[in-house]
Amino acid sequence: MSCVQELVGLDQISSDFEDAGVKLMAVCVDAPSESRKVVKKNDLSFPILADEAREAIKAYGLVHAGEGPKGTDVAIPAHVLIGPDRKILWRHVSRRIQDRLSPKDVLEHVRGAAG
Amino acid sequence: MTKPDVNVATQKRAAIPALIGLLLTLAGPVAWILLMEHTWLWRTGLPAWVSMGAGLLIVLWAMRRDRRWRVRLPALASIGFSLLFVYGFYGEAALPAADAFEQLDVAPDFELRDHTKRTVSLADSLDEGRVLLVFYRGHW
Repeated sequence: MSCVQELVGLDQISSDFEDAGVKLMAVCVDAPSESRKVVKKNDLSFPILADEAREAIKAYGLVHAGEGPKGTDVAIPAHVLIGPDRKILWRHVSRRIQDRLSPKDVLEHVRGAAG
Repeated sequence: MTKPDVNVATQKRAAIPALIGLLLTLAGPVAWILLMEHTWLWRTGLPAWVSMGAGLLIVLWAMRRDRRWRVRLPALASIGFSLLFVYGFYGEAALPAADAFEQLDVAPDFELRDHTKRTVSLADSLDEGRVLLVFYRGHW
C-alpha cells in the first residue's frame, strides 16, 4: 500500500492549487535521494522535503514512533494549510492509515479556508 | 404410495456453499486493496465489509445446515479471517492521536532539503503565497 498515490493524485490537480495561490510541498522522513526517485518516477511538479532528522515532524507533533524502517519514527499523515505569518488556516490529520482525503476534498478545503 | 426413504443428511449438504462463503470472505479485503485508489472506498473499507459480510452469512447458514467438518473448517476459517481483518482495520492501522498538532496556531518554521538537496525554508516559501504541507509516511 503506497502513500505515494496520494501525492500523484494531488499532482494531477496541481494547477488548481496554483490557481488558488497555494504552493504544494510534501514532507517525509526519506532521504532526498529516495524522494528524488519518487519525484522522477511519478513526474511530480512539487518538491518532497526530507525530514531525515525528524525535526519537522517533532515540531508539528506528527511523530509516529517506531513505525519506520528499523524502528525509526515516521510522520503521521496530515495536511496543513499555512498562510501569512505562518498562521494555520486548515489542518487534517489521519486517525487510521487508510483514513485519507481525496485530492478533490483537499482542494475544496483549501479553497474554502480563509486567508 | 410410501415416501422414498431419504437420508436426511444427504439433503442437507452445504460444503460447496461453505467454500463459496470462504472465497467471498477472502475476496473482500482483496477487492478493497484493488480499489484503494477510490479514496472513499479505501477509507470506509466498504468493498471488504460487503463481500466479507455476504461470505459470513453464507458460512453461518452452511454451518447450521451441515455440521460436518468439511463445512465447519471453511466456515471457521472465514470467521477467523474476518476477525483478523477487523483487528487490522481498526486496531493495527490506528495512528496515535496528534493532540499537539491539533493545538498548533502558528506553523513552526523549518529549513529542510528537498529531493534535489536544495534547502527550502517555510518562511521564505510563504513570501510567495500560501503553502500546503502534506506529511506522509514515506515511499517504503
